[in-house]
Amino acid sequence: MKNNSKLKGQLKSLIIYIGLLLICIVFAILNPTFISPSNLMTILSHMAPLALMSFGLASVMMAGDFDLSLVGITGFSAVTIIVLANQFNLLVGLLGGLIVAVLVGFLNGFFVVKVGIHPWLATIAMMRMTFGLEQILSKGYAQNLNHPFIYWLGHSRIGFIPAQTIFALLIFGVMYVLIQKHKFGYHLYALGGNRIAAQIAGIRVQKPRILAYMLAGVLCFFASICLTGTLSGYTPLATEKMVNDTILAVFIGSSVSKRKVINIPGTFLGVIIMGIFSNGLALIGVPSYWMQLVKGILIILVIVTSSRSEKMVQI
Amino acid sequence: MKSKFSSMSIKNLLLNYGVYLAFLIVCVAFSLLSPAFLTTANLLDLLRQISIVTVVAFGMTLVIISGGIDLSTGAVVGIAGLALTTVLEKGGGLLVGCLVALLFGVLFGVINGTLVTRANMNPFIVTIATLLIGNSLQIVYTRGGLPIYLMIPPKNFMFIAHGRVGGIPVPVIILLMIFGLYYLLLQRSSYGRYLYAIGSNIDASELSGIKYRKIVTFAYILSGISAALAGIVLSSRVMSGQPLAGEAYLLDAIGASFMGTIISKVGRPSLLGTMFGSLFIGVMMNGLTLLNVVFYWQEFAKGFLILFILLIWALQKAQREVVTGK
Repeated sequence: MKNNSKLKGQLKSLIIYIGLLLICIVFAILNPTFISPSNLMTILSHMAPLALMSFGLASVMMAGDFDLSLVGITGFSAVTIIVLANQFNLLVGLLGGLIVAVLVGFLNGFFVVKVGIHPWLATIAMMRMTFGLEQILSKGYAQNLNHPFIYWLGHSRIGFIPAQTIFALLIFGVMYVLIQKHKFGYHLYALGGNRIAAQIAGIRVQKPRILAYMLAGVLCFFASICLTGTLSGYTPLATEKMVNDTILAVFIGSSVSKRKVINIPGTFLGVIIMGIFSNGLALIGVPSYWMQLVKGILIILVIVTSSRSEKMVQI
Repeated sequence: MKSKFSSMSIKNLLLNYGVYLAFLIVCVAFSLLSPAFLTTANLLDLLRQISIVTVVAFGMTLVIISGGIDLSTGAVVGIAGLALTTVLEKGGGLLVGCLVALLFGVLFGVINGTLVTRANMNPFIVTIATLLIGNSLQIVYTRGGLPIYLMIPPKNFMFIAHGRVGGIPVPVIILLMIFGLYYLLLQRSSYGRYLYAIGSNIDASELSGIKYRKIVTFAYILSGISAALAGIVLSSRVMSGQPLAGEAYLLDAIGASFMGTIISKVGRPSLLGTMFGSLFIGVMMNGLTLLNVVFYWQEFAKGFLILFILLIWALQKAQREVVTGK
């Protein structure tokens, strides 16, 4: 009986890889362009901003919190970088972008952790505020940024891999060590698992969670650099549609792990799945709006299969 | 009693009555800055403007009382409008169209309520998922977001949003009717008592034999119906079916409901409070428009205001927990 359930568990965790492979084969048969090297590189380079934001969301969610404002922070930071870079120079721009991103992250942490507002409510309001701010700064117009470094990051390749993918992989390495191997990550897991037990064990309840929000802000700053590179500038509200993708990537990540916990490598896998799906469906000619429906249904499916509490949940 | 009296410091006064003060200041400031603000025409317009979002917020209030939240209202508003205009376009009557629109509201309510109470999922996650699905259904149905315009709109269709009965705009009458109905339901029936009981302690209410699953699911259904009703009024107002039209009302409805919670003494959501909250947000937006403030500043102001409401709400909650020793 025990062996049986173990085997079942292993099969369950393998199913997603087999499914992914099958889907890739179907895409490749329907449109051979899908497996051409240049298309695979396109998928990789488009993944970078989503991956960075999803890592941020994963670290916040690990501690039992949530952040809907990450897409807003990314957009706000991108506009700040561009406006300041055009006014002064790139270094000032990057510094400004980093500061606003960390500041909004800190405010999220402050409202959720210190004040005690429900994370969804606080961050949904913060999302609208940052979207407002990014339109105020850009006056609603698309912004251009011509800088060799930004262009290089968005459009060139190191060897055959896009530069921003290398950048995202580097951050992935750092995040992997920080979350899966470092004390900080263990504390976040403990706080997400059982906050009272963690407190009794001597973990500070507030500081790591606020730090997680600020870390998410930093990751959004990195994402905004990649995005500015790809777009050679930024169009206000360009990130709005990415909310679902970040949530879905993190949920997929937790559902593929054996103990159903949120983790960085799983999130990365989730991002890859999202990238393959969007790209593949576009290539076989499915209108983009169908993609949103598929994503909504996927979110429900993933959550239904992973939730198993016994009593009605209240906010 | 004594501890309550001694804790009546300025901070507490501000926490409990600051919202009224802020409302007063905002109203006075707008009437000084813009001569158009304090006119009968503008105030009637204001009431008509907020009637749609207030109806959504009333439904949301019921769900919040039960301890949940309904984000899917954002989608239901748009879907109801599309359903109504589709029926009218195909030559169906207004009554059939409205019924179909309301049925969609019921459908969303049933799905949300069932998933929350039977599958025990987090209301935030359930309703954000149904919001996403609802939004994408609208986009798929309108092939990427083309609104449905009516060539020859029936006259009674226009009446819903533009008509007046005895000088009072019809949307305002609808608003008052929904308010009356829900008020009776909450204050004068056992249903309302049960709903409040579930919201304050679900374990205790289940032990005392309240069938929380049915009662909470019904709250979600009422929320869906309110959103659909708001969608009907909205589509009549713009004389077309606009996909994703409800997005803008979602955050306002949440903000209004929570503002209702912070002005009640015991920290419970109530219809009157929601009405006040909706009026506050409406006055802010109306005044800013009269002062020619660009729309993206308004978006920022709205986000800021709602965050501020939540801040006071959380501070009050912490304070009550200190007083009751929880």
